Amino acid sequence: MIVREAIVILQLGSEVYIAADIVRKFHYNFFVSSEIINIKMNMVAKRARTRRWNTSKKKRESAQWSSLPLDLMEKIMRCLFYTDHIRLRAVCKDWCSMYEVSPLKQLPLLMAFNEDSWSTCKLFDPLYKKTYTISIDDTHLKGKSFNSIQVHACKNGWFLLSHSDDPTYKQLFLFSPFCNDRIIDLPRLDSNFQIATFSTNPTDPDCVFFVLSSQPSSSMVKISICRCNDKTWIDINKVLWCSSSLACFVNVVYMEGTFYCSTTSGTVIAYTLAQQKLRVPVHELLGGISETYLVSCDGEILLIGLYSYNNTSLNAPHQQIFKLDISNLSWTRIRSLGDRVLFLGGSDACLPGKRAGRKLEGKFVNRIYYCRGIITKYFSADPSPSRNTRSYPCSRYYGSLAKENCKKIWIEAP
Amino acid sequence: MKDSFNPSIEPPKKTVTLVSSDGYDFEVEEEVALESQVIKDGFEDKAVDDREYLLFNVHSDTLELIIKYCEKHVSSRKSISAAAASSSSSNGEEALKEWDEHFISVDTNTLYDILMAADYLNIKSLLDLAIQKVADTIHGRSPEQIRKKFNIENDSIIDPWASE
Repeated sequence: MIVREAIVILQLGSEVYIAADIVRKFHYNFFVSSEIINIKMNMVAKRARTRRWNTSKKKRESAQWSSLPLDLMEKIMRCLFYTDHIRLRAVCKDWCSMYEVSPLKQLPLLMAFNEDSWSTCKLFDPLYKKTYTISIDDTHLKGKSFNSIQVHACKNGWFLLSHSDDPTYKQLFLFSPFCNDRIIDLPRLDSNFQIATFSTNPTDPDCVFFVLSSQPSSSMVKISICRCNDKTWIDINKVLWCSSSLACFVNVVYMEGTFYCSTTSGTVIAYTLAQQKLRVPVHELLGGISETYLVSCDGEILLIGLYSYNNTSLNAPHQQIFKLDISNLSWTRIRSLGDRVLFLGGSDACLPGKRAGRKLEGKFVNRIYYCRGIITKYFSADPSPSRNTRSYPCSRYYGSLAKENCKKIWIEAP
Repeated sequence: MKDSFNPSIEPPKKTVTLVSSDGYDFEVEEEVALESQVIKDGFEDKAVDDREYLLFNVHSDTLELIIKYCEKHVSSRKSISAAAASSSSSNGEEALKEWDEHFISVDTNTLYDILMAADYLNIKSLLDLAIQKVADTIHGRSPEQIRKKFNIENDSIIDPWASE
Protein backbone atom coordinates (compact mmCIF):
# COMPACT_ATOMS: atom_id res chain seq x y z
CA MET A 1 0.00 0.00 0.00
CA ILE A 2 1.24 3.43 -0.83
CA VAL A 3 0.92 5.98 1.89
CA ARG A 4 0.95 9.53 0.82
CA GLU A 5 0.97 12.16 3.46
CA ALA A 6 0.97 15.82 2.85
CA ILE A 7 0.21 18.75 5.03
CA VAL A 8 -1.64 21.47 3.27
CA ILE A 9 -1.42 24.81 4.91
CA LEU A 10 -4.06 27.21 3.83
CA GLN A 11 -3.94 30.84 4.39
CA LEU A 12 -7.00 32.96 3.95
CA GLY A 13 -6.80 36.51 5.19
CA SER A 14 -5.37 36.33 8.67
CA GLU A 15 -6.52 32.81 9.50
CA VAL A 16 -4.36 29.74 9.01
CA TYR A 17 -5.84 26.29 8.41
CA ILE A 18 -4.21 22.91 8.41
CA ALA A 19 -5.36 19.69 6.91
CA ALA A 20 -3.81 16.39 6.07
CA ASP A 21 -4.11 14.43 2.88
CA ILE A 22 -3.77 10.81 3.72
CA VAL A 23 -3.80 7.48 2.03
CA ARG A 24 -6.83 6.84 -0.13
CA LYS A 25 -7.35 3.43 1.39
CA PHE A 26 -8.73 5.05 4.49
CA HIS A 27 -10.59 7.64 2.56
CA TYR A 28 -14.00 6.73 3.89
CA ASN A 29 -12.97 8.16 7.20
CA PHE A 30 -11.40 11.11 5.61
CA PHE A 31 -13.93 13.68 4.80
CA VAL A 32 -12.66 16.79 6.47
CA SER A 33 -15.68 18.78 7.35
CA SER A 34 -15.74 22.45 7.75
CA GLU A 35 -16.01 21.94 11.48
CA ILE A 36 -12.43 20.79 11.57
CA ILE A 37 -10.86 23.48 9.57
CA ASN A 38 -13.46 26.12 10.03
CA ILE A 39 -13.40 27.98 6.80
CA LYS A 40 -15.86 30.77 6.48
CA MET A 41 -16.69 31.57 2.92
CA ASN A 42 -19.52 33.24 1.21
CA MET A 43 -21.61 31.03 -1.02
CA VAL A 44 -20.68 31.34 -4.63
CA ALA A 45 -22.80 30.90 -7.69
CA LYS A 46 -23.29 27.34 -8.86
CA ARG A 47 -20.37 25.91 -10.74
CA ALA A 48 -18.53 29.22 -10.77
CA ARG A 49 -15.02 28.32 -9.94
CA THR A 50 -13.75 30.14 -6.94
CA ARG A 51 -10.18 29.55 -5.99
CA ARG A 52 -10.15 29.05 -2.28
CA TRP A 53 -6.46 28.72 -1.85
CA ASN A 54 -3.28 28.51 -3.81
CA THR A 55 -1.41 25.32 -3.33
CA SER A 56 1.51 23.62 -4.88
CA LYS A 57 -0.87 20.84 -5.99
CA LYS A 58 -1.92 22.69 -9.11
CA LYS A 59 -1.00 19.85 -11.38
CA ARG A 60 -2.82 16.59 -11.29
CA GLU A 61 -0.76 13.59 -10.47
CA SER A 62 -0.26 11.35 -13.44
CA ALA A 63 -2.16 8.07 -13.57
CA GLN A 64 -0.48 5.17 -11.76
CA TRP A 65 -2.21 2.20 -13.35
CA SER A 66 0.38 -0.32 -12.21
CA SER A 67 -0.25 0.47 -8.54
CA LEU A 68 -4.03 0.45 -8.76
CA PRO A 69 -5.57 -0.54 -5.40
CA LEU A 70 -6.22 -4.27 -5.10
CA ASP A 71 -9.98 -3.95 -4.64
CA LEU A 72 -10.29 -2.00 -7.90
CA MET A 73 -7.98 -4.42 -9.67
CA GLU A 74 -10.18 -7.29 -8.49
CA LYS A 75 -13.31 -5.58 -9.84
CA ILE A 76 -11.62 -5.07 -13.23
CA MET A 77 -10.47 -8.69 -13.38
CA ARG A 78 -14.01 -9.91 -12.66
CA CYS A 79 -15.04 -8.28 -15.97
CA LEU A 80 -12.35 -10.12 -17.95
CA PHE A 81 -11.82 -13.59 -19.39
CA TYR A 82 -9.20 -16.21 -18.57
CA THR A 83 -6.84 -15.27 -21.41
CA ASP A 84 -7.10 -11.59 -20.49
CA HIS A 85 -5.97 -12.53 -16.97
CA ILE A 86 -2.86 -14.26 -18.27
CA ARG A 87 -1.97 -11.32 -20.48
CA LEU A 88 -2.72 -8.83 -17.75
CA ARG A 89 -0.36 -10.60 -15.34
CA ALA A 90 2.41 -10.33 -17.92
CA VAL A 91 2.11 -6.53 -18.07
CA CYS A 92 4.11 -5.58 -14.96
CA LYS A 93 5.37 -6.87 -11.63
CA ASP A 94 2.55 -5.39 -9.58
CA TRP A 95 -0.13 -6.95 -11.75
CA CYS A 96 1.75 -10.25 -11.85
CA SER A 97 1.50 -10.59 -8.07
CA MET A 98 -2.23 -9.82 -8.02
CA TYR A 99 -4.15 -12.54 -6.15
CA GLU A 100 -6.36 -15.05 -7.99
CA VAL A 101 -9.73 -13.77 -9.14
CA SER A 102 -12.21 -15.97 -11.00
CA PRO A 103 -12.50 -14.82 -14.60
CA LEU A 104 -15.75 -14.32 -16.51
CA LYS A 105 -17.18 -17.54 -17.84
CA GLN A 106 -16.49 -17.79 -21.54
CA LEU A 107 -17.32 -20.12 -24.41
CA PRO A 108 -15.58 -23.45 -23.87
CA LEU A 109 -12.35 -24.13 -25.75
CA LEU A 110 -12.21 -26.98 -28.24
CA MET A 111 -9.58 -29.57 -27.43
CA ALA A 112 -8.42 -31.91 -30.19
CA PHE A 113 -6.20 -34.97 -29.72
CA ASN A 114 -3.53 -35.44 -32.38
CA GLU A 115 -3.69 -38.94 -33.82
CA ASP A 116 -6.28 -39.80 -31.19
CA SER A 117 -3.66 -40.00 -28.47
CA TRP A 118 -2.96 -38.14 -25.24
CA SER A 119 0.58 -37.19 -26.34
CA THR A 120 -0.15 -33.86 -27.92
CA CYS A 121 -3.31 -31.87 -28.12
CA LYS A 122 -4.46 -28.60 -29.58
CA LEU A 123 -6.66 -26.08 -27.81
CA PHE A 124 -8.68 -23.54 -29.72
CA ASP A 125 -9.92 -20.42 -27.93
CA PRO A 126 -12.96 -19.02 -29.82
CA LEU A 127 -12.67 -15.62 -28.14
CA TYR A 128 -9.16 -14.97 -29.36
CA LYS A 129 -9.28 -17.22 -32.42
CA LYS A 130 -6.01 -18.69 -31.27
CA THR A 131 -4.75 -22.28 -31.27
CA TYR A 132 -2.36 -23.53 -28.60
CA THR A 133 -0.42 -26.76 -28.95
CA ILE A 134 0.25 -28.67 -25.75
CA SER A 135 2.53 -31.66 -25.43
CA ILE A 136 1.69 -33.91 -22.54
CA ASP A 137 4.69 -35.45 -20.79
CA ASP A 138 3.20 -37.20 -17.79
CA THR A 139 3.59 -40.97 -17.71
CA HIS A 140 -0.10 -41.43 -16.89
CA LEU A 141 -1.06 -40.06 -20.26
CA LYS A 142 1.87 -39.92 -22.62
CA GLY A 143 1.43 -42.23 -25.59
CA LYS A 144 -1.95 -43.47 -24.35
CA SER A 145 -4.63 -43.76 -26.99
CA PHE A 146 -7.72 -41.64 -26.54
CA ASN A 147 -9.91 -44.67 -25.88
CA SER A 148 -7.68 -46.26 -23.21
CA ILE A 149 -8.30 -43.29 -20.92
CA GLN A 150 -11.79 -42.81 -19.61
CA VAL A 151 -13.02 -39.25 -19.18
CA HIS A 152 -15.39 -39.14 -16.19
CA ALA A 153 -15.74 -35.41 -15.76
CA CYS A 154 -14.41 -32.28 -17.33
CA LYS A 155 -14.93 -28.92 -15.69
CA ASN A 156 -13.15 -25.77 -14.54
CA GLY A 157 -10.38 -26.65 -16.98
CA TRP A 158 -9.71 -30.04 -15.32
CA PHE A 159 -10.29 -33.61 -16.44
CA LEU A 160 -11.13 -36.41 -14.04
CA LEU A 161 -9.69 -39.46 -15.78
CA SER A 162 -8.99 -43.11 -15.18
CA HIS A 163 -6.93 -45.86 -16.82
CA SER A 164 -8.73 -48.93 -17.86
CA ASP A 165 -5.58 -51.10 -18.13
CA ASP A 166 -6.40 -53.23 -15.12
CA PRO A 167 -10.05 -54.37 -14.93
CA THR A 168 -9.98 -54.99 -11.15
CA TYR A 169 -9.58 -51.39 -10.11
CA LYS A 170 -9.39 -47.93 -11.58
CA GLN A 171 -6.76 -45.34 -10.81
CA LEU A 172 -8.50 -41.97 -10.80
CA PHE A 173 -6.40 -38.90 -11.50
CA LEU A 174 -6.75 -35.28 -12.52
CA PHE A 175 -5.19 -33.51 -15.46
CA SER A 176 -5.43 -29.96 -16.73
CA PRO A 177 -4.01 -28.83 -20.08
CA PHE A 178 -3.85 -25.32 -18.58
CA CYS A 179 -1.29 -26.36 -15.96
CA ASN A 180 0.22 -29.19 -17.88
CA ASP A 181 2.97 -30.21 -15.47
CA ARG A 182 0.57 -31.10 -12.70
CA ILE A 183 -1.28 -34.37 -12.37
CA ILE A 184 -3.14 -35.11 -9.15
CA ASP A 185 -3.61 -38.77 -8.17
CA LEU A 186 -6.61 -39.73 -6.11
CA PRO A 187 -6.52 -42.57 -3.53
CA ARG A 188 -6.80 -46.11 -4.90
CA LEU A 189 -10.38 -47.22 -5.32
CA ASP A 190 -10.88 -50.97 -4.99
CA SER A 191 -14.11 -51.32 -6.85
CA ASN A 192 -15.53 -50.52 -10.20
CA PHE A 193 -17.89 -47.60 -10.63
CA GLN A 194 -20.25 -46.04 -13.16
CA ILE A 195 -19.91 -42.33 -12.64
CA ALA A 196 -17.47 -39.91 -11.02
CA THR A 197 -17.10 -36.17 -10.69
CA PHE A 198 -15.83 -33.41 -8.40
CA SER A 199 -17.41 -30.38 -6.79
CA THR A 200 -15.22 -27.34 -7.41
CA ASN A 201 -11.73 -26.56 -8.62
CA PRO A 202 -9.53 -29.58 -7.72
CA THR A 203 -6.81 -27.30 -6.34
CA ASP A 204 -9.29 -25.90 -3.84
CA PRO A 205 -8.87 -27.73 -0.47
CA ASP A 206 -12.65 -28.01 -0.08
CA CYS A 207 -13.06 -29.86 -3.36
CA VAL A 208 -14.99 -33.13 -2.95
CA PHE A 209 -14.56 -36.10 -5.29
CA PHE A 210 -17.60 -38.28 -5.80
CA VAL A 211 -17.91 -41.79 -7.20
CA LEU A 212 -21.05 -43.92 -7.53
CA SER A 213 -21.51 -47.59 -8.30
CA SER A 214 -24.77 -49.50 -8.32
CA GLN A 215 -25.63 -53.16 -7.99
CA PRO A 216 -28.94 -53.85 -9.71
CA SER A 217 -29.42 -57.25 -8.06
CA SER A 218 -29.58 -55.82 -4.54
CA SER A 219 -31.02 -52.37 -5.36
CA MET A 220 -27.92 -51.02 -3.70
CA VAL A 221 -25.84 -47.99 -4.54
CA LYS A 222 -22.39 -47.34 -3.15
CA ILE A 223 -21.17 -43.78 -2.97
CA SER A 224 -17.50 -43.09 -2.32
CA ILE A 225 -16.29 -39.67 -1.27
CA CYS A 226 -12.87 -38.17 -0.72
CA ARG A 227 -11.40 -34.71 -0.33
CA CYS A 228 -8.19 -33.29 -1.75
CA ASN A 229 -5.68 -34.49 0.82
CA ASP A 230 -7.47 -37.64 1.97
CA LYS A 231 -5.59 -40.94 1.83
CA THR A 232 -8.65 -43.14 1.42
CA TRP A 233 -12.22 -43.03 0.16
CA ILE A 234 -15.17 -43.04 2.52
CA ASP A 235 -17.87 -45.47 1.40
CA ILE A 236 -21.57 -44.96 1.93
CA ASN A 237 -23.94 -47.83 1.06
CA LYS A 238 -27.60 -47.16 0.47
CA VAL A 239 -30.40 -49.51 -0.44
CA LEU A 240 -32.86 -47.98 -2.86
CA TRP A 241 -36.48 -49.02 -3.04
CA CYS A 242 -36.79 -48.13 -6.71
CA SER A 243 -36.86 -50.50 -9.60
CA SER A 244 -33.89 -52.21 -11.17
CA SER A 245 -33.54 -49.62 -13.89
CA LEU A 246 -31.39 -47.75 -11.39
CA ALA A 247 -28.57 -49.93 -12.62
CA CYS A 248 -27.58 -47.67 -15.43
CA PHE A 249 -26.29 -44.45 -13.91
CA VAL A 250 -24.71 -42.42 -16.68
CA ASN A 251 -24.54 -38.78 -15.61
CA VAL A 252 -23.58 -36.87 -12.51
CA VAL A 253 -23.48 -33.16 -11.91
CA TYR A 254 -22.67 -31.07 -8.84
CA MET A 255 -24.63 -28.02 -7.79
CA GLU A 256 -24.70 -26.10 -4.50
CA GLY A 257 -23.62 -28.86 -2.12
CA THR A 258 -25.49 -31.69 -3.86
CA PHE A 259 -24.47 -34.31 -6.40
CA TYR A 260 -27.29 -35.21 -8.83
CA CYS A 261 -26.96 -38.58 -10.58
CA SER A 262 -29.19 -39.71 -13.41
CA THR A 263 -29.86 -43.01 -15.14
CA THR A 264 -30.40 -43.70 -18.83
CA SER A 265 -34.15 -43.40 -18.25
CA GLY A 266 -33.84 -40.05 -16.50
CA THR A 267 -34.35 -41.13 -12.90
CA VAL A 268 -32.46 -38.82 -10.59
CA ILE A 269 -31.05 -39.40 -7.14
CA ALA A 270 -29.53 -36.56 -5.16
CA TYR A 271 -26.78 -36.83 -2.54
CA THR A 272 -26.36 -33.81 -0.27
CA LEU A 273 -22.92 -33.51 1.31
CA ALA A 274 -23.82 -31.55 4.43
CA GLN A 275 -26.57 -33.91 5.63
CA GLN A 276 -25.03 -37.01 3.99
CA LYS A 277 -28.52 -37.65 2.74
CA LEU A 278 -29.55 -39.51 -0.39
CA ARG A 279 -32.90 -38.55 -1.89
CA VAL A 280 -34.72 -40.79 -4.36
CA PRO A 281 -37.75 -39.90 -6.49
CA VAL A 282 -41.03 -41.78 -6.35
CA HIS A 283 -41.16 -42.70 -10.01
CA GLU A 284 -39.21 -42.33 -13.19
CA LEU A 285 -40.45 -40.38 -16.13
CA LEU A 286 -38.60 -40.90 -19.33
CA GLY A 287 -37.86 -43.69 -21.73
CA GLY A 288 -36.19 -44.49 -25.00
CA ILE A 289 -33.45 -41.90 -24.86
CA SER A 290 -30.21 -42.82 -26.58
CA GLU A 291 -28.02 -40.09 -25.13
CA THR A 292 -28.63 -38.05 -22.01
CA TYR A 293 -26.72 -35.12 -20.62
CA LEU A 294 -27.06 -33.54 -17.21
CA VAL A 295 -26.09 -29.88 -16.89
CA SER A 296 -26.24 -27.38 -14.05
CA CYS A 297 -26.85 -23.77 -14.90
CA ASP A 298 -27.55 -20.78 -12.65
CA GLY A 299 -29.22 -22.82 -9.93
CA GLU A 300 -31.09 -25.12 -12.33
CA ILE A 301 -30.45 -28.72 -13.34
CA LEU A 302 -31.26 -29.52 -16.95
CA LEU A 303 -31.50 -32.91 -18.60
CA ILE A 304 -31.10 -33.09 -22.34
CA GLY A 305 -32.27 -36.23 -24.07
CA LEU A 306 -31.34 -37.02 -27.67
CA TYR A 307 -33.50 -39.74 -29.21
CA SER A 308 -32.19 -42.54 -31.45
CA TYR A 309 -29.62 -40.29 -32.96
CA ASN A 310 -27.16 -41.08 -35.70
CA ASN A 311 -24.62 -38.35 -35.19
CA THR A 312 -23.15 -38.51 -38.66
CA SER A 313 -26.49 -37.39 -40.08
CA LEU A 314 -26.92 -33.81 -41.21
CA ASN A 315 -30.18 -33.54 -39.35
CA ALA A 316 -30.48 -32.27 -35.84
CA PRO A 317 -31.45 -34.97 -33.36
CA HIS A 318 -34.91 -35.28 -31.97
CA GLN A 319 -34.44 -33.72 -28.58
CA GLN A 320 -36.19 -32.98 -25.33
CA ILE A 321 -35.03 -30.67 -22.57
CA PHE A 322 -36.23 -31.02 -19.00
CA LYS A 323 -35.78 -28.92 -15.90
CA LEU A 324 -35.48 -30.60 -12.52
CA ASP A 325 -37.83 -29.72 -9.70
CA ILE A 326 -35.21 -29.89 -6.96
CA SER A 327 -37.68 -30.46 -4.12
CA ASN A 328 -39.27 -33.65 -5.45
CA LEU A 329 -36.73 -34.70 -8.13
CA SER A 330 -39.20 -34.69 -10.97
CA TRP A 331 -38.77 -33.35 -14.47
CA THR A 332 -40.71 -30.64 -16.26
CA ARG A 333 -40.28 -30.32 -19.99
CA ILE A 334 -39.10 -26.91 -21.15
CA ARG A 335 -39.62 -25.52 -24.62
CA SER A 336 -36.62 -23.31 -25.02
CA LEU A 337 -33.27 -22.52 -23.46
CA GLY A 338 -34.14 -18.82 -23.60
CA ASP A 339 -31.02 -16.78 -24.11
CA ARG A 340 -28.76 -19.65 -23.06
CA VAL A 341 -26.44 -21.85 -25.06
CA LEU A 342 -25.57 -25.47 -24.26
CA PHE A 343 -22.34 -27.33 -24.87
CA LEU A 344 -22.57 -31.12 -24.79
CA GLY A 345 -19.63 -33.52 -24.94
CA GLY A 346 -16.71 -32.98 -22.56
CA SER A 347 -17.40 -29.99 -20.39
CA ASP A 348 -21.18 -30.23 -20.49
CA ALA A 349 -21.96 -26.60 -19.88
CA CYS A 350 -24.85 -24.26 -20.17
CA LEU A 351 -24.13 -20.58 -20.23
CA PRO A 352 -25.99 -17.39 -20.93
CA GLY A 353 -25.35 -16.43 -24.55
CA LYS A 354 -24.68 -12.85 -23.63
CA ARG A 355 -21.88 -13.84 -21.28
CA ALA A 356 -20.16 -16.03 -23.81
CA GLY A 357 -17.98 -13.35 -25.30
CA ARG A 358 -18.47 -9.67 -25.70
CA LYS A 359 -18.22 -9.47 -29.47
CA LEU A 360 -20.27 -12.61 -30.00
CA GLU A 361 -23.19 -11.32 -27.97
CA GLY A 362 -26.60 -12.51 -29.12
CA LYS A 363 -25.25 -15.03 -31.61
CA PHE A 364 -25.19 -17.85 -29.10
CA VAL A 365 -28.79 -18.07 -28.05
CA ASN A 366 -31.01 -21.14 -27.68
CA ARG A 367 -28.48 -23.39 -29.41
CA ILE A 368 -26.87 -26.70 -28.60
CA TYR A 369 -23.21 -27.24 -29.49
CA TYR A 370 -22.49 -30.92 -29.72
CA CYS A 371 -19.22 -32.83 -29.77
CA ARG A 372 -18.81 -36.59 -29.85
CA GLY A 373 -15.84 -38.47 -31.21
CA ILE A 374 -14.63 -36.54 -34.22
CA ILE A 375 -18.00 -34.87 -34.85
CA THR A 376 -18.73 -31.29 -33.85
CA LYS A 377 -21.91 -29.52 -34.83
CA TYR A 378 -24.56 -27.20 -33.55
CA PHE A 379 -28.33 -27.09 -33.89
CA SER A 380 -31.27 -25.13 -32.59
CA ALA A 381 -32.74 -26.07 -29.22
CA ASP A 382 -36.22 -25.19 -30.40
CA PRO A 383 -38.40 -28.32 -30.13
CA SER A 384 -41.38 -27.08 -32.15
CA PRO A 385 -42.42 -29.21 -35.15
CA SER A 386 -41.83 -26.36 -37.58
CA ARG A 387 -38.30 -25.88 -36.38
CA ASN A 388 -35.24 -25.91 -38.50
CA THR A 389 -34.09 -29.50 -38.22
CA ARG A 390 -30.67 -29.07 -39.77
CA SER A 391 -27.41 -29.14 -37.93
CA TYR A 392 -24.49 -26.89 -38.82
CA PRO A 393 -20.70 -27.14 -38.62
CA CYS A 394 -19.00 -25.32 -35.71
CA SER A 395 -16.12 -24.07 -37.86
CA ARG A 396 -17.48 -20.52 -37.99
CA TYR A 397 -16.54 -19.95 -34.35
CA TYR A 398 -14.17 -22.84 -33.76
CA GLY A 399 -12.06 -22.54 -36.91
CA SER A 400 -10.62 -25.36 -38.92
CA LEU A 401 -9.90 -27.41 -35.81
CA ALA A 402 -13.62 -28.21 -35.63
CA LYS A 403 -13.33 -30.06 -38.95
CA GLU A 404 -10.12 -31.99 -38.26
CA ASN A 405 -10.34 -35.74 -38.33
CA CYS A 406 -9.42 -36.46 -34.71
CA LYS A 407 -11.13 -36.94 -31.34
CA LYS A 408 -12.39 -33.70 -29.83
CA ILE A 409 -13.91 -32.48 -26.62
CA TRP A 410 -15.19 -29.17 -25.17
CA ILE A 411 -13.17 -27.87 -22.26
CA GLU A 412 -13.95 -24.89 -20.05
CA ALA A 413 -11.23 -22.38 -19.31
CA PRO A 414 -10.26 -22.54 -15.61
CA MET B 1 -27.03 24.05 -16.48
CA LYS B 2 -30.77 23.89 -15.97
CA ASP B 3 -32.60 20.64 -15.71
CA SER B 4 -35.10 20.02 -18.45
CA PHE B 5 -37.54 18.66 -15.90
CA ASN B 6 -38.51 21.61 -13.78
CA PRO B 7 -41.98 21.88 -12.28
CA SER B 8 -42.75 25.52 -11.66
CA ILE B 9 -43.74 25.43 -8.00
CA GLU B 10 -40.89 24.12 -5.96
CA PRO B 11 -39.04 25.45 -2.94
CA PRO B 12 -35.55 26.79 -3.59
CA LYS B 13 -33.14 23.90 -3.90
CA LYS B 14 -30.79 23.20 -1.03
CA THR B 15 -27.16 23.16 -1.94
CA VAL B 16 -23.92 21.58 -0.81
CA THR B 17 -20.42 22.88 -1.41
CA LEU B 18 -17.74 20.55 -2.69
CA VAL B 19 -14.15 21.74 -2.57
CA SER B 20 -11.58 20.19 -4.89
CA SER B 21 -8.02 19.27 -3.95
CA ASP B 22 -6.69 22.36 -5.69
CA GLY B 23 -9.02 24.65 -3.81
CA TYR B 24 -11.99 25.28 -6.06
CA ASP B 25 -15.53 25.50 -4.74
CA PHE B 26 -18.37 23.74 -6.50
CA GLU B 27 -21.83 24.46 -5.29
CA VAL B 28 -24.19 21.71 -6.24
CA GLU B 29 -27.76 20.74 -5.44
CA GLU B 30 -28.14 18.50 -2.46
CA GLU B 31 -29.58 15.58 -4.42
CA VAL B 32 -26.69 15.73 -6.85
CA ALA B 33 -24.15 15.50 -4.04
CA LEU B 34 -26.13 12.64 -2.49
CA GLU B 35 -25.28 10.46 -5.49
CA SER B 36 -22.09 9.89 -3.53
CA GLN B 37 -22.70 7.25 -0.88
CA VAL B 38 -19.91 8.72 1.22
CA ILE B 39 -21.62 12.11 1.35
CA LYS B 40 -24.98 10.44 1.92
CA ASP B 41 -23.71 8.52 4.95
CA GLY B 42 -23.98 10.85 7.85
CA PHE B 43 -25.45 13.64 5.77
CA GLU B 44 -28.46 14.03 8.04
CA ASP B 45 -26.27 14.48 11.09
CA LYS B 46 -24.61 17.51 9.66
CA ALA B 47 -26.06 20.95 10.31
CA VAL B 48 -27.87 22.40 7.31
CA ASP B 49 -25.64 25.46 7.04
CA ASP B 50 -22.55 23.33 7.37
CA ARG B 51 -22.83 21.09 4.34
CA GLU B 52 -19.42 21.51 2.91
CA TYR B 53 -17.05 18.77 1.86
CA LEU B 54 -13.34 19.06 1.21
CA LEU B 55 -12.35 16.44 -1.30
CA PHE B 56 -8.62 16.26 -0.96
CA ASN B 57 -8.27 13.46 -3.48
CA VAL B 58 -10.30 14.98 -6.28
CA HIS B 59 -8.83 17.56 -8.62
CA SER B 60 -11.14 20.31 -9.91
CA ASP B 61 -10.98 19.01 -13.50
CA THR B 62 -12.17 15.59 -12.32
CA LEU B 63 -14.72 16.99 -9.90
CA GLU B 64 -16.30 18.93 -12.72
CA LEU B 65 -16.76 15.72 -14.68
CA ILE B 66 -18.12 13.87 -11.65
CA ILE B 67 -20.68 16.60 -10.99
CA LYS B 68 -21.70 16.57 -14.64
CA TYR B 69 -22.27 12.82 -14.38
CA CYS B 70 -24.29 13.04 -11.16
CA GLU B 71 -26.44 15.90 -12.44
CA LYS B 72 -27.22 13.99 -15.60
CA HIS B 73 -28.19 10.90 -13.65
CA VAL B 74 -30.39 12.79 -11.19
CA SER B 75 -32.26 14.58 -13.98
CA SER B 76 -32.57 11.43 -16.12
CA ARG B 77 -34.00 9.46 -13.21
CA LYS B 78 -36.62 12.14 -12.74
CA SER B 79 -37.66 12.21 -16.36
CA ILE B 80 -37.71 8.39 -16.55
CA SER B 81 -39.98 8.09 -13.51
CA ALA B 82 -42.13 10.97 -14.79
CA ALA B 83 -42.54 9.16 -18.10
CA ALA B 84 -43.39 5.95 -16.25
CA ALA B 85 -46.00 7.78 -14.10
CA SER B 86 -47.75 9.19 -17.14
CA SER B 87 -47.31 5.79 -18.80
CA SER B 88 -45.92 7.45 -21.88
CA SER B 89 -43.23 5.54 -23.65
CA SER B 90 -39.72 6.65 -22.98
CA ASN B 91 -36.35 5.66 -24.26
CA GLY B 92 -34.78 7.44 -21.30
CA GLU B 93 -32.76 4.48 -20.08
CA GLU B 94 -31.44 3.75 -23.52
CA ALA B 95 -30.49 7.39 -23.99
CA LEU B 96 -28.79 7.51 -20.60
CA LYS B 97 -26.77 4.42 -21.48
CA GLU B 98 -25.64 6.12 -24.65
CA TRP B 99 -24.79 9.26 -22.72
CA ASP B 100 -22.74 7.18 -20.23
CA GLU B 101 -20.90 5.52 -23.09
CA HIS B 102 -19.98 8.90 -24.51
CA PHE B 103 -19.11 10.29 -21.08
CA ILE B 104 -16.60 7.53 -20.31
CA SER B 105 -14.90 7.65 -23.71
CA VAL B 106 -11.90 9.55 -22.41
CA ASP B 107 -8.13 9.10 -22.45
CA THR B 108 -6.67 6.68 -19.92
CA ASN B 109 -5.36 9.45 -17.63
CA THR B 110 -8.82 10.97 -17.29
CA LEU B 111 -10.29 7.49 -16.91
CA TYR B 112 -7.89 6.88 -14.03
CA ASP B 113 -8.97 10.09 -12.31
CA ILE B 114 -12.66 9.27 -12.75
CA LEU B 115 -12.11 5.73 -11.48
CA MET B 116 -10.26 6.87 -8.37
CA ALA B 117 -12.77 9.65 -7.67
CA ALA B 118 -15.78 7.35 -8.14
CA ASP B 119 -14.18 4.90 -5.71
CA TYR B 120 -13.29 7.66 -3.22
CA LEU B 121 -16.76 9.18 -3.34
CA ASN B 122 -18.40 5.74 -3.60
CA ILE B 123 -20.65 6.47 -6.58
CA LYS B 124 -21.52 2.93 -7.52
CA SER B 125 -22.94 3.39 -11.02
CA LEU B 126 -20.01 5.57 -12.06
CA LEU B 127 -17.51 3.15 -10.53
CA ASP B 128 -19.08 0.25 -12.44
CA LEU B 129 -18.99 2.29 -15.63
CA ALA B 130 -15.31 3.14 -15.20
CA ILE B 131 -14.37 -0.44 -14.23
CA GLN B 132 -16.14 -1.81 -17.32
CA LYS B 133 -14.34 0.74 -19.48
CA VAL B 134 -10.95 -0.30 -18.11
CA ALA B 135 -11.84 -3.98 -18.65
CA ASP B 136 -12.97 -3.27 -22.22
CA THR B 137 -9.70 -1.48 -22.87
CA ILE B 138 -7.67 -4.45 -21.60
CA HIS B 139 -9.78 -7.16 -23.28
CA GLY B 140 -8.16 -8.67 -26.34
CA ARG B 141 -4.93 -6.69 -26.09
CA SER B 142 -1.45 -8.15 -25.76
CA PRO B 143 0.68 -7.23 -22.70
CA GLU B 144 2.72 -4.82 -24.85
CA GLN B 145 -0.43 -3.13 -26.17
CA ILE B 146 -1.81 -2.85 -22.63
CA ARG B 147 1.43 -1.24 -21.42
CA LYS B 148 1.33 1.28 -24.23
CA LYS B 149 -2.34 2.09 -23.71
CA PHE B 150 -1.99 2.63 -19.96
CA ASN B 151 1.53 4.04 -20.05
CA ILE B 152 2.97 1.32 -17.81
CA GLU B 153 6.68 0.65 -17.61
CA ASN B 154 7.75 -2.87 -18.52
CA ASP B 155 9.24 -4.36 -15.37
CA SER B 156 7.66 -7.75 -15.94
CA ILE B 157 9.68 -10.83 -15.21
CA ILE B 158 7.49 -13.33 -17.02
CA ASP B 159 7.55 -14.03 -20.70
CA PRO B 160 3.96 -13.44 -21.79
CA TRP B 161 3.94 -16.20 -24.37
CA ALA B 162 5.62 -18.80 -22.20
CA SER B 163 2.74 -18.56 -19.76
CA GLU B 164 0.06 -19.19 -22.33
